[in-house]
Amino acid sequence: MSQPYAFLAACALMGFASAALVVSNAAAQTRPAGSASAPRPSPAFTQLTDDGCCTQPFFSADGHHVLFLDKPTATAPVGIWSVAVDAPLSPPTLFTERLGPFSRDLSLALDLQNGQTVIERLRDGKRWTVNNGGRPVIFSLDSKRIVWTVLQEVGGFDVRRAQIYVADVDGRNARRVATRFGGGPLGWLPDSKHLLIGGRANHNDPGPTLSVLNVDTGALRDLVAVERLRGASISPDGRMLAYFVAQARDASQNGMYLLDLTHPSPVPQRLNFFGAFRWRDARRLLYIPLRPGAPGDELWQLDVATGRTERLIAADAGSPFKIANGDWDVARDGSKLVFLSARDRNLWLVTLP
Amino acid sequence: MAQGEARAVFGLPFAEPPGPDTWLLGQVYGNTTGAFARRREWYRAGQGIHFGIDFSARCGTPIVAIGDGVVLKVDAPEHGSAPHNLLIAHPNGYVSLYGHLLERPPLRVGQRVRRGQVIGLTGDPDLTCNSRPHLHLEIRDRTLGRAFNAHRLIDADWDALMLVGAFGRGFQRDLDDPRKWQSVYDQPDIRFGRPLINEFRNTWPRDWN
Repeated sequence: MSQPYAFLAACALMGFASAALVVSNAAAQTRPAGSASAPRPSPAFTQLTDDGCCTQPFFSADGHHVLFLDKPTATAPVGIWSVAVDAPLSPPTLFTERLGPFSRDLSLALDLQNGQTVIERLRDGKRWTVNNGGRPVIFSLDSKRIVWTVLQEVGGFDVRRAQIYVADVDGRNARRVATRFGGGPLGWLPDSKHLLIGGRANHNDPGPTLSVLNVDTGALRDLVAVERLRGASISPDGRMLAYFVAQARDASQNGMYLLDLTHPSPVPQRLNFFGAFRWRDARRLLYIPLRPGAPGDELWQLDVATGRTERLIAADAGSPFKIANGDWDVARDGSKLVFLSARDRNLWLVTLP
Repeated sequence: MAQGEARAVFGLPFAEPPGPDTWLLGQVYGNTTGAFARRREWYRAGQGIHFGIDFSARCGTPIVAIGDGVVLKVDAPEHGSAPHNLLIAHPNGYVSLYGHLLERPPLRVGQRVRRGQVIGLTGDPDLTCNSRPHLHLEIRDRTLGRAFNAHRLIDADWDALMLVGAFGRGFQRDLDDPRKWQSVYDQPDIRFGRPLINEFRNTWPRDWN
């Protein structure tokens, strides 16, 4: 009973870049393997928490704190709690009683009250309602705009109608900017003027297409047709998209890819690995190869400009680096990674080499 | 078969290793955000949680028995997971249910099957093979009235599998006790037909439209 679109929406809400989209295919170029450098010693791990408290951790905007939803004692308030990366194992402190989702800069929090979507500005507590039928929104990266989807309730997930609406962050100037079938918005580009969207433009189209939409002008630029695109993640500078294709009808299309979003006719570049991934910065993609049964996880880094790969953390049965729940996050400056360890269910920090 | 006594006695329902060409973990068992959103509809019978494990796979992917057993039912719509399903009774008292199969499995009730034997093909509940093709796998007790947390009974590296491809990987929070049911291993067993267990007074993610 999987729900691909529900996952897409949930990921966007949670601030994850991952998303599911059933979208046809295009010729792909296979990126040369690049040269893997000699392995370097794994970096040191720092245990941040010690009572199995915390799932779905994420970094504060400045990277100085790791945040997570919690209620550490029976009398403590539920909220977003914080542990300082330079004070490991210190008691967490309350960051905010708002739970989010939050804008990227953590200045705005989203909530649902009496069936209405409410946005709160955290610095002064000012709140306002967005008249969108109690639907979740995705903040643009500059926190000035929002996007939401009105999704058809019935029909196959590959053809279900998604009406995409954009408004100013105060809810004004709301308008429908696109309709897609079997897709929806995959994320804002950093200029907060363009949306990456996927799906069929028309119900009867043979397959889905990935496109960039200018929400000011309505100009639409189709990038590529991709069947069963998943895990779409836009690089911090908005120039590249990482994603994977799985279980496509044309099995030769399965795999992980990069796509140059700035190219007028981009060709997907196939990567020679498969696993979980997060952007470290505009140039480097971190990835964890899928290796079930391995004694621990490995962290690798791809330089997307050169194709060079480098192993940053080696699998080691004795290390905490075995991620649970798929819970890991990278600090915005790319210097640190936090994860929930499957060894002890605690949060651990690693400074990336 | 109390929850605390569960041991991983079964194997995975595919002979091939996971990957983009074969299968990936879809929705895990338990109080997932996706199931919570459908708790009063699709998952009401299972007390509001996802009472099986979904494995994403192309239509027609061979499914194997997770343990030795005897075919208990073939195409039993009263147990859900249309369009076709299969139930296998195992000597340890468990019953495995394989749902959303592409076609009626070529097996007869009472037929013995071996762990790893191909017993069916993956399908799509929306009948198109383009919408959400996957296998829905449940592990129940012999009365079929109770479903167990299948992650505790199947020997697999769930932590690794959860890294990639999992739809709705997060678990819904009870904000009165937000640490409850936040691991794939501590999700509760359910009894079919009993009241919802996740009508929380205060919850997160919010109950969005």
